Amino acid sequence: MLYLEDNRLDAFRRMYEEYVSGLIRFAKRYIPADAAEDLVQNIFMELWESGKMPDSNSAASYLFVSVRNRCINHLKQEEVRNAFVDRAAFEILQRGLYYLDSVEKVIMEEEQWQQICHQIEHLPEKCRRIFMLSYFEDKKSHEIAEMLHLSIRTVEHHLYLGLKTLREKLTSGNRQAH
Amino acid sequence: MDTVPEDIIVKFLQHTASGEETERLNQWLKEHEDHSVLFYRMQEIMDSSHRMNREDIVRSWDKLYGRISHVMPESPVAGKYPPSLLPSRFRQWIRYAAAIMIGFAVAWHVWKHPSESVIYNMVYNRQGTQKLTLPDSSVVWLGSNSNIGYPEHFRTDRRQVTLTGKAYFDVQKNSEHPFVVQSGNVEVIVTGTEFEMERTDAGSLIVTLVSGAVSVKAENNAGIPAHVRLTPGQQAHVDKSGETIRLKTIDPEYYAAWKDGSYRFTNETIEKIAEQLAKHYRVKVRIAGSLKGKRFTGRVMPDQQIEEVMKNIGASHPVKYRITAEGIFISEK
Repeated sequence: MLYLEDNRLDAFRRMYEEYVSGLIRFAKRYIPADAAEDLVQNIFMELWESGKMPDSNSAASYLFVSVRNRCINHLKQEEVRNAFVDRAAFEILQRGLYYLDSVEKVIMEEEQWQQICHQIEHLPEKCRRIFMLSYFEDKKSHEIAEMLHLSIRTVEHHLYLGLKTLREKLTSGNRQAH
Repeated sequence: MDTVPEDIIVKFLQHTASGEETERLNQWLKEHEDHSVLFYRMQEIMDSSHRMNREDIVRSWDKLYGRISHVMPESPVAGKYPPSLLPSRFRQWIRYAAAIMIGFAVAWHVWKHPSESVIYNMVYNRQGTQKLTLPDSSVVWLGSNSNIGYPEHFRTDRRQVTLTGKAYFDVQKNSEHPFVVQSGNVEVIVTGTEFEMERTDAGSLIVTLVSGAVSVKAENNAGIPAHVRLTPGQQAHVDKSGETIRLKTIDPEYYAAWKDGSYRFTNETIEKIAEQLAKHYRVKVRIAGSLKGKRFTGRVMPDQQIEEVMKNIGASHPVKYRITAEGIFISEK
């Protein structure tokens, strides 16, 4: 009997824990939540079984490209299987995947997320409240409308403005990272 | 951009858009590259709120670990362990050394966190059949050249083990904490039952249910799941790719009889014994009329040659046997 501390396993685990959240979140945009975790796990399982480990510089792009490619395959299979049930939604999702010309865009790092939180604080009060309910508490527009005695239209308008403002702030000021 | 369907963008991101609205959004995205840039960027921001917390990440790792733990590096690096843990580990060593004679066991631990560690047992059985008792008192008969992995303490929500090769399981009933056997891309979910599982050399997996109920979940390379529930006497064949699951009807008695690799018969009729031997050794067995109804007691050991088995049977009643091209013929001496 041997007692082992497997350094390779440790490194593998660190890599998994670093990226799993971002990868699953990314996959969930395109495929159902339970399939997303399995898809990500399969990538890691095959990576482990191959005995190869990407170095820390290329790990992120390797992993995201793998997830992206598998999501494309998954959608293609769904497309065949469901015989174009929801053609438009399918197109939107698939275009989103191809639109990712650079995978680095997708990697929402802690820093960037904190940037988002920081920017949310600076949204106009009403917009901020509505945005936070939707963003952090996953409330749907009609629920927020009910809570705040507003029309659904108003809620959706503020959510849209909030997203648009965040997008502009994040793309203008903080892209010198790469 | 005065035609921006802003309510639709928001609805789509909240997964509440109707088919018609989705169609409109799609048209709008196609109109101009800028629309796509805006929309997909918004989608990113919206998604970034769905972050996994530390606990979920650890849980997710545990799940992955259950799937990869049977594939360990060829030459692992021997390492350090805290001195305080040594005595109990050593006792464990003794326990295994005593219990396992044919196979060998390797255990290693994973440091989850400086303060908590999970001890994972990997037991490899090279030859014959090895009986193991799991932390929940479930019993496993591990076949030759087979490998089972299980934690020292099962987690509270499910009892997960990994298997390569072949094993027969007698699982303790506990419907609240399902017993899950993972073998590659296949999961067998059990609440309390007797079943056998075998990964063949060709890569397909065979699950045989003797009593109780199990669910077999497979997944192909694209992550598309397949699922089947077995009833006693059914056998599921999952092909290597996880693409198809075929069902076959089998004789559960045979699997139950041979569960620990040996077959014991106590005052059993020769017909019944012959039937078992025929299935096990895949030969035809014929019995002389004068022997019919005669009862025998004995035991067939794992990996025993049929010649030896016949000698054992002969010990309780004088018989002779002939092995021919057609099979075995047993007659009175």
